[in-house]
Amino acid sequence: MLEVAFVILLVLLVLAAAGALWASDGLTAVLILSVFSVTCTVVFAFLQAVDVAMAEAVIGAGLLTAIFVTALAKTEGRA
Amino acid sequence: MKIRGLAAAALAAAVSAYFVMLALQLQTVTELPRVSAHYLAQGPAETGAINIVAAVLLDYRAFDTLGETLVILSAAMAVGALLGAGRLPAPGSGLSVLVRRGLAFLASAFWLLPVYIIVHGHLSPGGGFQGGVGLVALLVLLTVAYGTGLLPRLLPLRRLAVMEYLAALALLLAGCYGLWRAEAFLGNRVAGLPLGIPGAMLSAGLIPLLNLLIGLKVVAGLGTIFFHLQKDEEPVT
Repeated sequence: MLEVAFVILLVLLVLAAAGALWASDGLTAVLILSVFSVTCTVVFAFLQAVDVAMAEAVIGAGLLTAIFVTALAKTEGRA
Repeated sequence: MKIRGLAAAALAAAVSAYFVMLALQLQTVTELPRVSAHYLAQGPAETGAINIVAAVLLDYRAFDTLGETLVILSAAMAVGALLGAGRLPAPGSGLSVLVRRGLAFLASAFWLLPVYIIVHGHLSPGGGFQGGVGLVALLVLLTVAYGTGLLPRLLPLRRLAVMEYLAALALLLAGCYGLWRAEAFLGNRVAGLPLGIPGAMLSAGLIPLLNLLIGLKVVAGLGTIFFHLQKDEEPVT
């Protein structure tokens, strides 16, 4: 049962990465990337790497999203 | 264009196949490398930290961690050099009063979690880095809700930068204690620091102090980077 849940998480990870890669615009890509980070957090927690999971949660889903959104807001229409 | 796409697809397939094979190969490994086995067996006794990750990061491999904190320092310096001349945008009013009040309510308790993670770094998962970034995330949330006017008034950028330098200096000085005792730089037990009872709040010698300093340094460094990124470009004169 746990293996099935783990495989579902891994598939979701690949789907999120592909979604971020082929997203229609930057903002969508950034938000899908934060979904990727949250999934990654659960995967790390599954693998009992709780320290890494915490770092991934705060950096990937928290700070990186904020910095990317800021960068998008500052460069809008100039790309 | 089509050939380039095909080449990229072939490269991606080759890299994926390589990693799948690597993962399958790793599954056949039955015993840990000798160093890992030693850390797991002797970690609490040799460092006093029951969180083995903290024992490795801040005792066995503390010098590597020092390098990582200097990465944040140099990143903050680079961002400051590039964007330091700009001005913070005029304070906006932020989001609606409902969001602001709600977030203030949340933030009044939320800061406890990162602080807990930092001070329990040697006891439970997490440490200075995770807790520090958590505090920066709180700063980011407050900036989003209250606009860019609030935090620079409470926590001027210059003060954040000074905090970053002081924390880096304190880290180096804490490491020099081992040198002063004619032992290894950043030495913990070898430098004669008391380890206490593993699992106690005050234990593991140097590790809680290093966690605290790294937490401060991460808050200052990443906070500096975030606030510099909020700045508008310098008006062309």
